[in-house]
Amino acid sequence: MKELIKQTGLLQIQNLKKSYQKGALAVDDLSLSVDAGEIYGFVGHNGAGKSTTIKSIVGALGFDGGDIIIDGKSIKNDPINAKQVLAYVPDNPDIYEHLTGIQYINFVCDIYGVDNERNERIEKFATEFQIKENLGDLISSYSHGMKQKLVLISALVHNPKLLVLDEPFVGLDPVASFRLKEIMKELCKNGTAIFFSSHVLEVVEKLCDRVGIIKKGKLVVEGSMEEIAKDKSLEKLFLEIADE
Amino acid sequence: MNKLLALIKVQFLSLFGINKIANKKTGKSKGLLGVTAVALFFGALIFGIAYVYALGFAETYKLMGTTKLFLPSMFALASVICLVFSFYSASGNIYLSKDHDLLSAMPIKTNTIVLSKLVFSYLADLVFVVLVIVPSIIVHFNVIGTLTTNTLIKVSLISIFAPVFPMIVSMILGTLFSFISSKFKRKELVQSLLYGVFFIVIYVVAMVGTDLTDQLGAIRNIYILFNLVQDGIYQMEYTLIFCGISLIAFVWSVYIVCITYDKLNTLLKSVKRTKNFKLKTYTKNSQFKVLVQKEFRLLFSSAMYFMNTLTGSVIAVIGTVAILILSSTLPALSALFALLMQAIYAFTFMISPTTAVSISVEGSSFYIMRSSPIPTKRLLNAKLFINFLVGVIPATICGTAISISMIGTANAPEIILTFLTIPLYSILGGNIGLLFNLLFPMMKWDNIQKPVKSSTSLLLTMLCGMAIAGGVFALLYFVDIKVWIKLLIIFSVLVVLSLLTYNIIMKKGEKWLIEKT
Repeated sequence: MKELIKQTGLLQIQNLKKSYQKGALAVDDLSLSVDAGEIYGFVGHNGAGKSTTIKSIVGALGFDGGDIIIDGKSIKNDPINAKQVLAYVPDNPDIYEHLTGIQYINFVCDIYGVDNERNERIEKFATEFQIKENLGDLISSYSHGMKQKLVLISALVHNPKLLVLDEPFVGLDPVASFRLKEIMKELCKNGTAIFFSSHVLEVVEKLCDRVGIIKKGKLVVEGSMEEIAKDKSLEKLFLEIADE
Repeated sequence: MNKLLALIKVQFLSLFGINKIANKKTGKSKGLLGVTAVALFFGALIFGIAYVYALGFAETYKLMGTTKLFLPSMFALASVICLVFSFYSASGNIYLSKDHDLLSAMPIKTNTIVLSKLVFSYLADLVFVVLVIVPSIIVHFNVIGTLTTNTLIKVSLISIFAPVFPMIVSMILGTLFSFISSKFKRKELVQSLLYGVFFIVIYVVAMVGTDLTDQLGAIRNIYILFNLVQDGIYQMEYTLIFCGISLIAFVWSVYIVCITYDKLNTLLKSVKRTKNFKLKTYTKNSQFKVLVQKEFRLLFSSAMYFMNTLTGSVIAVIGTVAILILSSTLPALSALFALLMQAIYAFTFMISPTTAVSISVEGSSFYIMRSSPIPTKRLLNAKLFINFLVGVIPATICGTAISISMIGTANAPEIILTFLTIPLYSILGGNIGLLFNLLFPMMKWDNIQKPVKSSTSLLLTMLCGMAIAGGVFALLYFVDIKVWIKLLIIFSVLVVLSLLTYNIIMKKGEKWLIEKT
């Protein structure tokens, strides 16, 4: 058995393996780490294994091999404590449509044990994302973008150490997209690690400290933009890798 | 016509996951065999129950010398079944269906879309009518006498048109309830309450002029076409009148739905916004409390989920009231009535606990639970607690009432064991439901009707409940030992099974949740 790669970092993915039926590997021996205060961009073609990796990180999907360590806790062996410090924003905001926006946020706050500054944080993020006046409405009445904003607020309100986002900019209006980028930078200054996947390569290029490109379940390229792309754009690099 | 047939075909393919199984790359024949076996089993079950019911009616009418009332009564029963099963069609199938936007953007007339949904609903109801009337005809041959070819033709014609009126009633009421609930913020809750009120009204109407033992009178009260059907079975001109009225009513109701379809869909999609929302100060709650609150809100957010799981408790409470009234008129028999109720409680509290689908109804939002720092045991206990609230508490109330009615006619062990046993049916039912839902969750669905009404976990829970109710009945009525010993056996078995199932849930629940969802 391959020796687990020893890493540091708030998020450590160690030799992750995940297969679905018929033995086809969705994620094949993937290892990476994300330090506190770092934004890591995770890109790849459709079906490359991005969502599988992300769902494995947050505990929504089991995996067959390796481990994922979040702030020193294994998602496999100590899932509750590992999840306590992370927040997940999925690509599809499937949330409880029978609740109002505020009920959902309070629900998340209670799950994570948010006590102090709860109202201030809700007010802050709801104002930033411009849905404060909609919080009293049922989620079933929200548009896709509004649901996305609500999920973002509920992720940010409990001040996570690790923020995991799957295609976070999809469905957001330009103001909300801008706000999200600003919030991500602010969180990183405060020591939060951010791991996100996106198809919008210009955003990844500008925002991320490091980028990893996954292809058919394997991490094929990883590093800062200077290291991996040198003088090329990320798009060009991505297309070259896709053609290989 | 092609578009109509295409729409009906698409609806048919979504039934029981037929198309999914038929297009599987592996295990196709096994899957199709499974679906066929389940369909045949339930068809046979309904056929069998209808046969037993028909036998009871036929014997009663034969004793009373009014055998001509038998077949109309069976048509009435079939109509009531159609009414109950097609009641939910109005919302979710006809209105606010998931394919509404998609179909509306296609070159298909609204009346074609509406007709396809109504025809599909009609065909589903026709299956129920056939499953009730065919055994009734067999019973008629065996108990009452042969039917002439002429009569069989009339019965067949009436069978074809029998689903129409209950379908129209359920459609009109469903449309009305959808319209009323569209005016409120909590549409689903209002719908749930309206359905609840409707069924209570049906019950009250059924009981007018009858007593609790007069089931036949009750059915005649509900089925207003009883006399027309009775005449129609024996006189061709009335058969044709019945068919003609049904056809006209069907055409008229299709017209009404078509002209209101777009407007009502828009109304139902419109939202009641909260004006001048202000953030309040919120205090922190425990994880368990918020999980229970979430489950409770989910239960009341869907009329289907609500009605499906609470019907058992409501029937049990109504049955208890009925038995208490009977006991007050025949006090010497109160202990016997209490014993009779054991099997009924086993049935009503065990066949549809909230837990049988409480994981499935989370659907695509279940990732929230999976990715949150919630211990699995706490999550599962919260789901069991909801069953406790809506099942065990009513069961305890029923048990208390029944036990008190036994004072003076039963000994102390019988009274105590009766009191202790009844809530255990709900506890065990809840555990079994959750066990099956952990093993057979249905997480991918586009209409809550699917997990709530036709999921594997629900069907298995119902079968288990029926089996246990059957076992209780058999022990109480066919085993010749003292009553308190029988009750002690039932109590002991329930306690052991409840503890065993809870233990399995706590030990294996986390593993199954990860593997299966």
